[in-house]
Amino acid sequence: MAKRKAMDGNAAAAEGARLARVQVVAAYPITPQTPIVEKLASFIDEQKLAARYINVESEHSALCATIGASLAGTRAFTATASAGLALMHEITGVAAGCRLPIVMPIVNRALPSPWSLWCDHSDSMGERDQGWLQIYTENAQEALDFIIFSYRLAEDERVLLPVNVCLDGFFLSHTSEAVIVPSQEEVDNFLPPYEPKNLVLDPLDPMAVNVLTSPAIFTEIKHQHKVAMDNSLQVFKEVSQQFQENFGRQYGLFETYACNDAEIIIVSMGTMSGTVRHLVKKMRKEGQKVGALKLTMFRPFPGRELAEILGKAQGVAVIDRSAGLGSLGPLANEVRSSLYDTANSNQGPVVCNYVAGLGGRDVTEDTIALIIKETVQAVEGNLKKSYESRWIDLLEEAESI
Amino acid sequence: MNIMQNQTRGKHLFHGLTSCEGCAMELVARTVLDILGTNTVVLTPPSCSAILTGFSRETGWHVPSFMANLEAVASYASGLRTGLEVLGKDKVNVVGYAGDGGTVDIGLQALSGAIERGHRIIYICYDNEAYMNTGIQRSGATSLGAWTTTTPGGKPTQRKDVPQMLLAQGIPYLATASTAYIDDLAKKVEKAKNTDGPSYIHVHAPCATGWRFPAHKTIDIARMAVQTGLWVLYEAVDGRLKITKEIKNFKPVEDYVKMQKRFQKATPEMIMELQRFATEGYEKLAERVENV
Amino acid sequence: MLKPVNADTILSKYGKDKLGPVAYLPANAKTGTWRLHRPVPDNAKCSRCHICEKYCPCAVIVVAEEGCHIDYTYCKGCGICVEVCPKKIIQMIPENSQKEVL
Repeated sequence: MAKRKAMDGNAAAAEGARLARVQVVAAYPITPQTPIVEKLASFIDEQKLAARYINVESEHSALCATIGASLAGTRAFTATASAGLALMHEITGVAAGCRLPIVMPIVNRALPSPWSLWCDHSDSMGERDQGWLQIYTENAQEALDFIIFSYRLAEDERVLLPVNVCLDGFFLSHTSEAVIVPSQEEVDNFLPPYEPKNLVLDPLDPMAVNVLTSPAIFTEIKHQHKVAMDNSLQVFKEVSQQFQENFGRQYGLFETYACNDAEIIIVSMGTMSGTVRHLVKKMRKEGQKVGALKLTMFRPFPGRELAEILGKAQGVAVIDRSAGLGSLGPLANEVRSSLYDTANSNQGPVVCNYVAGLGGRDVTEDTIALIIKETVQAVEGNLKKSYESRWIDLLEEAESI
Repeated sequence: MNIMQNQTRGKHLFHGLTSCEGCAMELVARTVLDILGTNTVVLTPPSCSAILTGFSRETGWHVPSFMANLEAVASYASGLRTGLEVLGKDKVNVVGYAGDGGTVDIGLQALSGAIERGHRIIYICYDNEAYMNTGIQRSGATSLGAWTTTTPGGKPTQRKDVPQMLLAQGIPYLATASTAYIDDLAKKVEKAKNTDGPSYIHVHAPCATGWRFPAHKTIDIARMAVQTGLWVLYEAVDGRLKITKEIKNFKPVEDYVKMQKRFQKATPEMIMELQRFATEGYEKLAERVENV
Repeated sequence: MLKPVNADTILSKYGKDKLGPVAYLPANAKTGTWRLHRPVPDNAKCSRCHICEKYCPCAVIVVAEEGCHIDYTYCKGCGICVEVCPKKIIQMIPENSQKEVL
């Protein structure tokens, strides 16, 4: 039987990994991810999880060891954040290119410089084109569920790709809330024991993995990867259906709230989405036609599905929790691009990009209210429609601080 | 009848590999696999040994192999070994086969970490004293005075002694070896195979292409390095050091240097310093043997 | 574009069905074409000591009862065998010479 327990996002992610019966954990500490790997070390020590733990000497080695374990034929796990993820960058491409179904939570923390311990999405956004699936979670329940969910998704033969489950540092990782923890039996019914389906390093079936590749086949191997990426949207929906049948909770590629007749829709990811919904609910009571869309799956980007919803609105406010220096925020770029066909018919919504919540700054109700107010002005033509990101929670004295 | 069907040596690598003629790296790899057999997985970094691991759909190894990242052979090996143990495949030999650059420079952190954690992996460094696959750039293992494309005037500093660093870490089995002493290398690989924990063998592997000598001299030059005392053959089981090839009458370092064009820019002072390095290096090691 | 899998290969028969960067065919460059000089043993004088076999980097020498055999399809002509032979019974002959060697 499932049990209801109070736990923070990190504990929930660790619990998810335990229930997924991961067999090898390779880990290196980094704030705010550390409690995940501490908890897993305890699980193994207390024999609550039959796995081996590798205390590596860097995040770079953490992912390498995870890949090694996966190639041996085991279900492997690691977790990281910020600079640790950046150090892994060379290796994230290997995990994805070798088509290994690894699940790795990223507990989002700003990348230096300036140094920050706190949340923004600049770390995971740096990995967005490395060929991993990326899922952004809002609460501890999602953190737990999506670890289990992601192994099932990653291990599907049509996918065979690694998955990042992203948790907002501190806002989610260190905040306790009620979580329904499924029983081992329930999880076992959903997630079968790991069977490697592709590349393995086994003397009984010798092959050379990750070799140097000529221009004659490089494009084709990348294209296989692209096809798997495309497949994963459909597989996500199927896994979601199974998940709902097994656990009673349903997850979509994104979640809409009051979007049907909304004139203004706010697009967000991660923990701020709860605040957005809360404000939308309030404003709806006041008769304002606003809606909220929380994006769960960022990679692959469900642009077509998203455009169907957003295309009907007059204004779309995209909140990016990373700076996107030199361009729009990465989320806004994707959203704008997905609406291009609609926009060409001159009926598409105005898309406004807001950068907010960097380096751990809270995205408050007031900030979101201001975002909605400005988007309304843009829709009414009172605000210049422009290809730029608006730094909405910037202090007035920004240049002199 | 094809006589090669009777091949007993070097048969766990296919023929027709595109390493240079007279390549010591290839000879070492064949010797290592002769001892370890086919119940083995090999990890190589992008380096000359990557030629063995393969290109596109072709590979040189009869055994499974993986092309690691340059700094990460030992960390991939750690994970692979652990995964194999989880599945009860404890008998599989996990071998890292990397050059000096991938070992003493960029790969040192991962290697040191893997040894500290005690994984049962066999790490073999073929030391050709420079980054050869990228076209002869100096590494931390390049000899004092040696020309490379990034030390056009001869390397101003002496090579670093990574076997001694790893010995200080308390590795259960460590050995140096040489391409000139294949039987000695084979014995050491056998010992590494039977070590319950990490093992490390550092093999001196002269490179005709990078050291500028005719390929047929590969073995002679490797032997000369040992006979001058520049490269000492020893092993350490649980830290107990033993010189496996004692030298009574040292040949002058000058004879070794003269055989290779890479030392053409070396100054007389550099060569004197190399001579001192050889003599004192051997003596220091010999003293440690007596003190055990 | 890909070569058919050689039925004799001991490598994975299934590798071709795998996704990602994977090699499953044996390397098979005809490196004998690189050779400028060909090592030719005088088997009447060969002592069958196997040292050439032991030191050939490409493992293309087999010493059998009849003497030393070299596989010229792959021998790169490095000449290490000539140097390590204790009886000096192997000679390097220029590839373009008219001398019949086999």
